Amino acid sequence: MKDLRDDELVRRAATGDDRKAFAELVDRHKEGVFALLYRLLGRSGEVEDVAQNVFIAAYRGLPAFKGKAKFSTWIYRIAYNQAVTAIRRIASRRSRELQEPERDGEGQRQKEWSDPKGPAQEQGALAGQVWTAVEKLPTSLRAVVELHYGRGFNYPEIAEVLSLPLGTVKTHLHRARAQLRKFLTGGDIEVGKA
Amino acid sequence: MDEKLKGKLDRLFDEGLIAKADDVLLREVTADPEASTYLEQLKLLQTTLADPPPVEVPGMFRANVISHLPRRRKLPAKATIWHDLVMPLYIGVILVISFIFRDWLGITALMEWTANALSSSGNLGGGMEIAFMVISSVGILIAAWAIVAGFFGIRSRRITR
Repeated sequence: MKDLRDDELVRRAATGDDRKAFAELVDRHKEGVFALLYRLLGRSGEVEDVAQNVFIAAYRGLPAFKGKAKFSTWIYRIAYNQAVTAIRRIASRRSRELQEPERDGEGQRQKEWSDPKGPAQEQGALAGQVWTAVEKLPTSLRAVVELHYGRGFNYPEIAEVLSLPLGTVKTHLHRARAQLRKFLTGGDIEVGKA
Repeated sequence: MDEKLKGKLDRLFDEGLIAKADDVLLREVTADPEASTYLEQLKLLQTTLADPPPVEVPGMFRANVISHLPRRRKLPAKATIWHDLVMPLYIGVILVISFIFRDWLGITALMEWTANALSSSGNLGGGMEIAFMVISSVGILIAAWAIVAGFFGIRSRRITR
């Protein structure tokens, strides 16, 4: 399985019920999917569940996957869409929790969400600050930064993953860089919800 | 810091070439302490972004995903043989049996009645012969089609699997 290309594994997993082929695809892309989800969801404790949903959705969708795009592009698109849905769900849950009196355990969950302790903090202090700054960027900018720098995607690939026009991707990346430069020089990141 | 110089550095950073500033630019930067600091910051930002923190994937993640995969309906094997071979053959066999035991099953009587009704001349034998011929031909055709379709159906699926 390890020497097979993604498209061959996809064909095997889609036409038959070859779970070994799909398991290999999971192995190849799990780190990338987790990286994108961590970048988008932070350390909310939802990442593993969402990642699992991403791969299950991909498995369900495999028979309809035409192979026009690369499998990696396709799986990141699913991951991005699932992350955006999860962000909305978390936001709505948080607003509900804020309206209700705090019960046992809920305070802890909110603390985890608002006080992320992750690899970003464990790296060098300044590098950690950079990643903290990235976490403050709006969702779409964070996604662009992760896909470009973390995954090494070029502009057309990012446009495909995020279903955005090429020009918008360039603008997003330009804005993200500008915000990070501003942060470096002592300015504050403009926190956004987009 | 000179805005023009800052703009040049920003552009280099955007192009991912901040570590490859040419000598002319470097001389300009060295002359301005603020620009030097800014260049170092941009270099650090570039290297940090290019080296994201490692990602922790839970050890059992793959196993969890695989155990939660939905069962996919398998078309091949039984369903294919049933549709391509067994069912048409079954119909053919029923027709042949019906033909052999036509008297006992009351088919002859039914066909006599049908042929009688259809035959304008009232010649029962001619009408019945035509009816039997049609039915047995259809039976043989179905059986032949079943064998051919079944053979090619199974073969083609074996190739695609």
